[in-house]
Amino acid sequence: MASIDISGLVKDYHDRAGNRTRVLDGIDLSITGETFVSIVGPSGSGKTTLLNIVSGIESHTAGNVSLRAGDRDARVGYVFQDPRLLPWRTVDQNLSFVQHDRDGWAERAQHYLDLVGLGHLGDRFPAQLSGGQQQRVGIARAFSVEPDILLMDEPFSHLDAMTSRTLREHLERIWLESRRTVMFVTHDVTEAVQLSDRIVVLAPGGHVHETIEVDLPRPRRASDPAVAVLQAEVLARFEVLEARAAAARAEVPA
Amino acid sequence: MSTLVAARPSVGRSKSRRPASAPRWLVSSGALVVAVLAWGIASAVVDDNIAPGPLEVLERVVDITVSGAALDNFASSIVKILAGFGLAMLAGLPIGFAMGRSRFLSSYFSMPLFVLGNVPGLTYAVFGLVIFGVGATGPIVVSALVAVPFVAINVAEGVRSVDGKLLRMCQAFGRSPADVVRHVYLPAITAFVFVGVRYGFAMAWKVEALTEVFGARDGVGFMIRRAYQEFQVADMLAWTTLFVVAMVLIERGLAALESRLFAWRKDLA
Repeated sequence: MASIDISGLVKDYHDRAGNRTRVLDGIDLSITGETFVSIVGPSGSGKTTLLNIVSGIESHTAGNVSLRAGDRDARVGYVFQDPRLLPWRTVDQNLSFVQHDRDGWAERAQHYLDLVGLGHLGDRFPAQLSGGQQQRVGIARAFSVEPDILLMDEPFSHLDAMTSRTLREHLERIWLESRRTVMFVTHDVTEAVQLSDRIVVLAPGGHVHETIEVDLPRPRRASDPAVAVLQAEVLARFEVLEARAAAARAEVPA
Repeated sequence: MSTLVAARPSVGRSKSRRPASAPRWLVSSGALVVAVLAWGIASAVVDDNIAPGPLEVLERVVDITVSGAALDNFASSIVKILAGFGLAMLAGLPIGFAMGRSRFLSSYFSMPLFVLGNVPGLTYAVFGLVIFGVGATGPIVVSALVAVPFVAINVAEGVRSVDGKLLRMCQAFGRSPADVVRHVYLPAITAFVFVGVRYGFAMAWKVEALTEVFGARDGVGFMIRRAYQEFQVADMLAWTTLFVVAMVLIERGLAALESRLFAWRKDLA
């Protein structure tokens, strides 16, 4: 069983003048097993920094991060805000490039491309696909490495509303089939409610403000009344937090 | 040497829509026909051995080609240029890679490369003869020196063009440095190197031919000099014509190869 364990995580940035800005301030978070956890928070609450540290792209100042799958290090898949495909490689080659395990990768790649509805476009180059299709390739790529843990950084934020709704449905379907441990960063509360088992709300200053359990049956549709009610409730709490953050920013002298 | 680096290879070129007009090749051919006609008329007016007409030159072109002399001498020139270009790639790739990765090395190499690229072709030719004497070494070294700046500067641009986001993607998926070089750096650089090769090749060949004029036993430049010494103006023009035709063919061949190699740039139709 895979797990992400974060304890006492601190991240400071230093500018050239030596001034310190604390972006994450003692985050404690544990995600275990087949759980879909969303990290939401206002701008500047350190969501993406947290994900980058968990993935190893960024270093941290203090604390511990551990990604385990049983008694070994977990294998990680990552979906970025933008597709980040190699433009000079075909869709198939892009999926091939990230494989740790060469055995049967072609079947795995085909399987996940089929699941995102692009099974017939494996020989295309990224420039020959639309933005939504490229992002779907990015999702298939992350799943195709059979990750123990899947990290996603606002993967639908650059897409139009219709496309992102379709992709959310694709994502939930693939997740229900493969059941990975997911850490999903988003600024979209409605998206978080639709997809998550748990929502972790970060506050400005980089600490956990609250954790909301989402106990709704799957698959969920944005139009389900229960989903809509919870979305409205979480959104109201989120707006209070954002208003507080805006007030705090206004108080800081320029 | 103002165009050492050609325009950045554009990703996703789109076809511009223009109103219907005569195809480009027809217009270019028209220009060629007009120029040849003007040459024919001028030659008829002068009516002297120093100004042979197009037909006379064409006859010599056919003779030189049929006799096999064209193939022998072009092969000799091209082998020397390719050898020189190979040397230029050996030196230019690491220098360009270093320049792309380090600001210090970029500053360090920029002046020597600028000087190399701006030395007149004649100087190279004369020094090639003085240092290496008559033979193949001079033209080879000279074409290498001419091509190095084109290769190095374009490789540096290619390295600088690599998207940091792609590098972080590789890191997130745990790719090895060797994988990153092979699948990210090399393809990114290739597009730029290709531009460098196209320009560098044309430049290197001109200077190489000039070097052959002064110090070689065969090759296109040598044949032009021999025709000059024997006052065979028609032969000089015939060799020059063959030289131009060969350059156009090579340039077209490289362009075709480029569009095959970089099929990934094509937009969604």
